[in-house]
Amino acid sequence: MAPSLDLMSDLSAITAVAADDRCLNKLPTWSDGSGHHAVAASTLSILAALKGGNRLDEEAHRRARHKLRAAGYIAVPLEPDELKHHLLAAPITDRKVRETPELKAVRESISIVRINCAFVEAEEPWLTGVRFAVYRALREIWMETTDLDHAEAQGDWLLSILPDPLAWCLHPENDLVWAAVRQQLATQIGLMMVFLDGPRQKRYFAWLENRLLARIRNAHPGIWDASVEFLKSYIARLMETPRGT
Amino acid sequence: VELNPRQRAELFRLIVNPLPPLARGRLLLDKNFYAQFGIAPKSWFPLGKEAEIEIKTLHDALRAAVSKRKSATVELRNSQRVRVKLGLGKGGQAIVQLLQKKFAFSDADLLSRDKRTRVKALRRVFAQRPLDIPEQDRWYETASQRPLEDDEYVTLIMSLGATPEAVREAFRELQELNSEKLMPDQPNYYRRLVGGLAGSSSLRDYIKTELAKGREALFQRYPQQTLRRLGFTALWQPLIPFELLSSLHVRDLTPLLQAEDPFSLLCGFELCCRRSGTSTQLVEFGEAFLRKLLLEPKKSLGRCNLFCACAMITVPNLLQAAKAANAPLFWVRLAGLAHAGVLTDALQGLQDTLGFLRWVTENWLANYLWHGVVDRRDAPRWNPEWISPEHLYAELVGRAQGALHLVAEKTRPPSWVSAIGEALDQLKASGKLAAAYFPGPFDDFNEVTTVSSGIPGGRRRAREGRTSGGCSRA
Repeated sequence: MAPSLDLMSDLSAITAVAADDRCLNKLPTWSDGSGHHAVAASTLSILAALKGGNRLDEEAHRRARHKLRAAGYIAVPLEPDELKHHLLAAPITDRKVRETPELKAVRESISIVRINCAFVEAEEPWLTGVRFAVYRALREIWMETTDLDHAEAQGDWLLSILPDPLAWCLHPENDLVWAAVRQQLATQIGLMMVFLDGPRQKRYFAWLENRLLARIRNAHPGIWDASVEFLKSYIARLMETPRGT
Repeated sequence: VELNPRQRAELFRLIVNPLPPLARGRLLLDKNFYAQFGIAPKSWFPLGKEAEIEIKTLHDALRAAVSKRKSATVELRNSQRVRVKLGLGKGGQAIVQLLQKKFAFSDADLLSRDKRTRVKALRRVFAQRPLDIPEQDRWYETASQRPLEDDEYVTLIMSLGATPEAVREAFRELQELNSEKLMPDQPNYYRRLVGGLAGSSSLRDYIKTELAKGREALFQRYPQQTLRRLGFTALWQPLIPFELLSSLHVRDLTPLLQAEDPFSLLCGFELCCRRSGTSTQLVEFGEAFLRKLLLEPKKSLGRCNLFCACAMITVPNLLQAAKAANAPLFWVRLAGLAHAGVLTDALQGLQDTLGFLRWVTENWLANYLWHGVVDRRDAPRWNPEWISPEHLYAELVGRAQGALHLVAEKTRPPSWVSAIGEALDQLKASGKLAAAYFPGPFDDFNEVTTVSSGIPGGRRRAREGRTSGGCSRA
């Protein structure tokens, strides 16, 4: 920490600082006592900048993020396309996805935060991003696949890593916070119940009922009710703007 | 983009039709929801294996039958419209004859367009299966203004089905049982059985407020039915409203004497003990209750077998079935055990009660005990393992003996004394005599002021440790 503090004391000739310490990069800028500012970044920001400037292609970018996850880097973002790419590359045996090193790293990268009680409120956007990526990947795989048995296996794996907002709640004793995470879960489930692709609908909903909905209805009837209410409001919005789908 | 009505209907069909049945059903039962899209969903009622009739045309046919018409047209699943023959049975029953087969529909006169007929029908069904009084009054108000609409009729029939009387009748027919079937999933059923929670945080408060209010209103209109329901909740002596029931004559206790669940029979005996006088009728009733409860060869223990088996299923599944995640333990226990009583009464035709108990023990005991582990934080005195038939029998004997001791010694009917003596002898022989004086499932909720100044430090710490564990009800 001491060298970092030395650096922070005079930022007059510095434009940007890269630090992978979550305490040091939690704010967008560093400021010294003389009013100089420097952009605070991390390895992830550098990778994003390299990719944005076409210095790193998609594959190299994915490999670099995989290395970070495998090394235990906390809160590596997850993109739907990236997740789908890794999942589609994994073999399926006995109706189960055989985890590749990339999928294992994705799974462990999510759970390591929770296992080590390292999740903090500032990382809510990261968690929301992970949930969104899993939801999008699930949806796209079911809509694009030609093999529904594979879609089920891949869906099972995705559900297994999908963060449960109740389990990630930092303040379950706070009624307002608890109500908010319950609503998050209800919304997550409600969104999964909107699936318009005709030929696959029957199989998708049978799978969803079997793997998720029945369990939620039994374990959390209140959340199930909220999911149905969300679904109603979502359908009402869809009926108003059919292009919004 | 503005959708035309046809496009809307098509989009709605595309989204809603493939949903799992329980989700789709919820959307299609919400009239306010689908009406905003100008959609009128159709549902179908199966008549045997051959045909399904569109519900609206079926209801119209029932209305026609109640109006003594001889035939009506209904729509089948394949959009074919066919003529069916109609008839009218007793008690508002309508008969529909389709493809040479007759189908009976009870309480069809609730759909009548004639005000007098439908109000009379309401009186009949409420006398058989009472709802809460304010709920009944709302139905009377609607029925006196206009005929019931299709969805109102369905709601009313479902409400009547979620009463202890209807549940008991439904289980009397032999059927394959499983834990889902044994737990009605309508929260209102549990509310009608033991009363709803409105904020009381202790059992004593609950008895004085919510429970008393609902019981008094129901008792004024339906004393016999209320008494029968009270039998199921006589799981603890303070749960019996002796004052409210004091206006009943001894012979009015007959419904309890016909009961087949242990706590209703015990309730009957405790009510006898609270009567003054030693009339022959009172003595005979009291003795009959005791003999049926404690001394019938095989049957007395058989009822305990059934009750314990049912309780192992009802107590852990109660929160989920009653959708009462935040209900306090006393309410969960009350509703779970009262429902076990309803099931025990309904399953009286079951011959092999011990086999049933074994089957339940194999499948649900572990789950029941795990739930009990959490409950012991709030209620440490009663051990959930005491749900065995032997412990239950001992508790019944202990409570009956306690009730008898409230009768002045000089006026205690000798037949009562000897019946309890006989039961105590049986307990002694089985080595369970002490269990007659163990705490019951509600003794933990008896608010008795404790004197704590004399508790030594070590014991006090131990007690605090026990009450501040990390377990919580999910």
